[in-house]
Amino acid sequence: MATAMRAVVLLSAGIDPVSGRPAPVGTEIRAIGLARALGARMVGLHAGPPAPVLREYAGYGLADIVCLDGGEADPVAALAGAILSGALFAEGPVELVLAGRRASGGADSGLLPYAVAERLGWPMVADVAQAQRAGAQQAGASPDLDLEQARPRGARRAARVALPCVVGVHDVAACVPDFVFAQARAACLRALPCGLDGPPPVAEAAEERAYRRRPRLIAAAAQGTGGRVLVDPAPQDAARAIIDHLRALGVLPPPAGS
Amino acid sequence: MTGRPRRDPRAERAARQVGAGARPRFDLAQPPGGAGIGSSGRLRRDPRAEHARLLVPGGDRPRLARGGGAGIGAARAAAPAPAVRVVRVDDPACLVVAVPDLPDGRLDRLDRQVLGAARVLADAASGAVVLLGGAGMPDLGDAGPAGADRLALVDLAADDPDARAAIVCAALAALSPRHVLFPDSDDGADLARRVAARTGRGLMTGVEVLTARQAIRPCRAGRCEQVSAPPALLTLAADRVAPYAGAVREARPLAVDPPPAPPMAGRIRASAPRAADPATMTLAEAPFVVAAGNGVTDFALFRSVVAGLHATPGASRVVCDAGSMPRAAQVGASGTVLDAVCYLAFGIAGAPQHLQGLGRVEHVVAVNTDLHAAMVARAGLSVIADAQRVMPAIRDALAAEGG
Amino acid sequence: MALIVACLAWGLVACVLLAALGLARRWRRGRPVRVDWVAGLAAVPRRYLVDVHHVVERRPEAARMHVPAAGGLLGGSVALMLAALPALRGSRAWWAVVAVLFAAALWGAVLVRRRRRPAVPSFLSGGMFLWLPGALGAYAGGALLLALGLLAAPDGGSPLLLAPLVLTVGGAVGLLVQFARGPMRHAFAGTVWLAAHARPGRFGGGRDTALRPLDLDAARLGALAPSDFAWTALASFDACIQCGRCEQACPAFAAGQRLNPKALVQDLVAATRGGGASYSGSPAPNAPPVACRGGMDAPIIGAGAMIHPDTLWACTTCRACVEECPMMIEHVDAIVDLRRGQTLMLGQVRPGAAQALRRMRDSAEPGGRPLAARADALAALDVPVLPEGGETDILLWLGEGAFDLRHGRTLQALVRLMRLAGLRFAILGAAEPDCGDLARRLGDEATFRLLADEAIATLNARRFQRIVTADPHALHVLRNEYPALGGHWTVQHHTALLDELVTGGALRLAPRDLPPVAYHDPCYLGRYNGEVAAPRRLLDAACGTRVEMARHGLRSMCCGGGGGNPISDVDGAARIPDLRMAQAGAVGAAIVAVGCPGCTAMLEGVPAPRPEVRDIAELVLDAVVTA
Repeated sequence: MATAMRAVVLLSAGIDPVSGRPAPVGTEIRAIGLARALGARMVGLHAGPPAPVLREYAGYGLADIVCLDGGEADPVAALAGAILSGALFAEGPVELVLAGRRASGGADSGLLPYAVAERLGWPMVADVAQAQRAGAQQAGASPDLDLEQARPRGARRAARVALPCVVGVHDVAACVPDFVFAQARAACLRALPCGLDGPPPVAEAAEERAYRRRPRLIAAAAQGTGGRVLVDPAPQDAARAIIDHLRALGVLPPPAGS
Repeated sequence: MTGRPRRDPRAERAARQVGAGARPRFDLAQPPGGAGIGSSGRLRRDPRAEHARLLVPGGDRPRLARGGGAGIGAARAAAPAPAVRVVRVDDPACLVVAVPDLPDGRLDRLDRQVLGAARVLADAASGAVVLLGGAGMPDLGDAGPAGADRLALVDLAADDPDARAAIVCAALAALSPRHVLFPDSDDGADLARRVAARTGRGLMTGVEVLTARQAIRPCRAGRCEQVSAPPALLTLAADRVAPYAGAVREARPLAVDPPPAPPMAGRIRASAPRAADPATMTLAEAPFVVAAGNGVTDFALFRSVVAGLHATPGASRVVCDAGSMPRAAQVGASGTVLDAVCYLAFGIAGAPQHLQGLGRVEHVVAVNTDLHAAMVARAGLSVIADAQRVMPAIRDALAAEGG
Repeated sequence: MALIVACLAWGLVACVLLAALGLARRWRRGRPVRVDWVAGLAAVPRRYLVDVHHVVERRPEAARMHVPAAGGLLGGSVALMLAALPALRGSRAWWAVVAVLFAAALWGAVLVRRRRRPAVPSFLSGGMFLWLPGALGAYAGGALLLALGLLAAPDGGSPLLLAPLVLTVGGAVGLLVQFARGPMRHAFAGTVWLAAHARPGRFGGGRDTALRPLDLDAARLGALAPSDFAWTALASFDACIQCGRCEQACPAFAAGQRLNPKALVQDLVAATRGGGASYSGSPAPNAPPVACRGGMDAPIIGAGAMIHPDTLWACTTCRACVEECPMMIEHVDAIVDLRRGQTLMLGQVRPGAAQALRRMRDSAEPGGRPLAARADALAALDVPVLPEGGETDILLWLGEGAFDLRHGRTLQALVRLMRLAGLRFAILGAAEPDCGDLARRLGDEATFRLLADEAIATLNARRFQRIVTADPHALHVLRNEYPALGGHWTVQHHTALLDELVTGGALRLAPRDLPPVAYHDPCYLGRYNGEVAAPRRLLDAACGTRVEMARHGLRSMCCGGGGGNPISDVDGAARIPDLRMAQAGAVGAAIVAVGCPGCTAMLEGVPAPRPEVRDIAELVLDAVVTA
């Protein structure tokens, strides 16, 4: 019986895009679900002081959340340091780091998981919709993870990666765990010193202001505004017109014979 | 500086503006070449050819190619522009590298916008745009029209994103460009972040406004925006910067030093993407949705038509309420909001709640008995007929083709 | 002989008491609650004779059965016991009294038998009920014969009386079994429940419908196992006599949505007794089978337990079952207790509900829409927004419906009418959070408290005379449920305000010549708040002809929109609003007048052809006469 994988879920103190209120980030919730689906033992890891919103993540199934006090100055170093420190699990080193696609409420660049992976020297696979442990493991060999990456229009790409690794979770991952108030209430938020040495990197000074909604470029529509209308055609003519139209749009493949 | 044509991006942008409303809207396909712009010494363009370049053949209604979908534009007409002047940049002051996704080896819609954005930055600095792509791309003939001065083709590892990033980093180190632009697509964003993490340089992701002087991107859950000078590395959000529509560029092949073998290759083994099964994929991701409403009574027939069309089944609320289709199939504000290319509605009048579910759908086809239904007004093709009679005809027509 | 008979009665009572002690021991394993026994027991006769019989009388044949059966049985048995006194034992008159009482009980037994002959109606249960008239008849008939024999010879015992004695003993044993294991325990459990009722305010014509706040720091939240229920609730489940009135009133049952309130209560009883499938009435329709395993501390909900989860989420919390229950059982409280356990302790809610709850936690709005967009429907009407510290006469609470374009038209009509009447009013604008109704009905008390605390703080920071809302759900929460959390205001439904304006002359209406209009009572206005007259007065003033649906007023049928039923999306055989619209069509209504955004949305979702749906505010605005 394989022992449970030791997974760390990176958590951010997100805000809700609609209301601007503190709220957990959807892909990070899915990251918890993904770790659960793998049967992993989980610790939540947050670079920053304990925030009430982190409790909400606990409601989705994280019993143990570690907050790296002071880690917000250099989150990459703080997170990587904590992951490598061995302080998160008594049983052994961290094998898997899960993160959302991007945070919501800060710079939201989606860069952090990559930077953490780079710092750890671990491979990083993004946009993961599904994960499972690869079967037929050699004894002693580092186990592999079979991942499924989400691609546009519902396409999927299989990827196999060796542990330890960093996994970014996509919005379409179906593994949203249930929110349980009793778990959120009971969760333990541990503050750990972040153990940063040396000065934090100088942040690039970017001007920040309220978001302005700007028009998107529109795809050139077909000539004329109204569509073509066939009133009461024969069913066969209607069918032909629809099929031809769908072919012209490229959504229906051409007939098998041609 | 010798006789190099000068362009006026402002004027070109203005020429693409549609209407005179308070909110500017831009027409991608309309070439800038309006009456007020042409002055002596300016480039001459062939708007017809440029329009044709974007056209997808077939059908009675012209449709402009848009990126992403496999199969779309598979037979795009290789309409070479009539020989106009090809613009050369022989001695660029700097390089701006665009790293397009090139799905199926071709520039897609966002790729062209990335090249357009690269053009903006290059032109401001008298630089050249370098298209960095994979070797062995079959159809990069439109790199020049899309704005590439140089074509740097390197052997990009397709199945290992780690290795791919290492190769791109090596190529960039060889080119030492001033700016590198990636599309903010799934693949482009992944590559850009890997490159940024590997090189330790800052990355500005999801840029929505890009001019020679500034770049703007949303942050803080889309409630704020960051403004800065155009950064060294950026990813460009979709449909924010117009593709290049000026004269054809040279697209001169550029030899790049062969990249070193990536040290950590083999950690990730990715296979080729496989298209989803339309019958089972989630509605929100489906490219082609066929939905049933009140006008459909025979759901076995409906399902066979959906299967025949290789589409994903959807339904109106009433149909789901009645239990004829599962709730997961419900389209609308209280169901799923679609992101499809095409939506074919059988017997759906189009209640406001339902139409909200068609938010980003580009093409709607309606089969409805009511000529004045809201769905008909939204549709590009409407058939005013009983869906129950049209569906068997479609099934039979598809069966006849297949047999 | 007479002494033997009297002793028999005493023995029977002793056995009944013993069985009652067994029941009480089971109830004691429930959650302790403080009960005012003195006041409660003193109130029992009145609660029974007035409140219970008020409900029982809605089925006259049931009332005609219950009076002789219960009166005869109880009176006769007590008279028999009193015959232990030598003075009475020797009195012919006393035996005559006993005989009359048992004759009544015998007649009652006949009537009980008739209810299930020739076939058991679908709403009644079979099982032990089938031989209950036999036991009752044997006991009453035997006792009647004994009394007649003793009437003939009070001091002597004829051996002829041995046969009726055996009959009486046999009947008494049967009744004991019916009491210990069967429906007859309702007599004892019902009395206890009436004395210790969880909502004493309901008696004497009162109304008490607010859900009780939950202590969110308690170790166990809501009810997962029978022992999590208040012991009085366990007693109330035992009080159920399976008359099936709740089943007939339940909209979810009518739509085949996996809920039957009667089966639910019986399943809860079975759960307290360790499971088993002894219930023999109609089940929850279309509900998947469950393992029927129970126990005082075993889970109630689940395929491996007593009740299928879908049953729980089919409830619209319309209180129709509570309104119809002659034992005054609080079904909705039980369902919300169970939902609280599922939601707060296990996170087991239906997917649509989970999404709505998450949006309520994160964006204070179940639809995830920006709060600032709530007043968009009123943008053209330029309604002032009441700032913090501001003052106005009437605060208009817009509610969740305001995001819907359709209800937006209702609100526009209401605002126009308030303008015509010259009222000073304002809205909260982006400061109005969701009131938390949906979260609370779904059992998510934590999210409800989050929203309620914010709403109460927002309202307490502003000054106004009263709150007016067009949403009865918000009305109920603001008026009845916020007081327990520190929000005390005068809250009015818009129909009450308009009625006040029309009655007071501030608005003049000229009845329009409209096709027949039927008023659909929103549950949260009618049953929850008892307001059924004002809307009808308004309609009478605004419309030509008004018709009543068969189910109206406090006994109206739900539209299917409450209690998170629509977002929980439980499979059913029909849709509740379709059934309701068919009822409107059956009485010839061409227009259904509504007073609730939920009802509007549900009833307008019924496919055509159907009656038109108009809010009362719209109909009143059309009829208003501007001088």
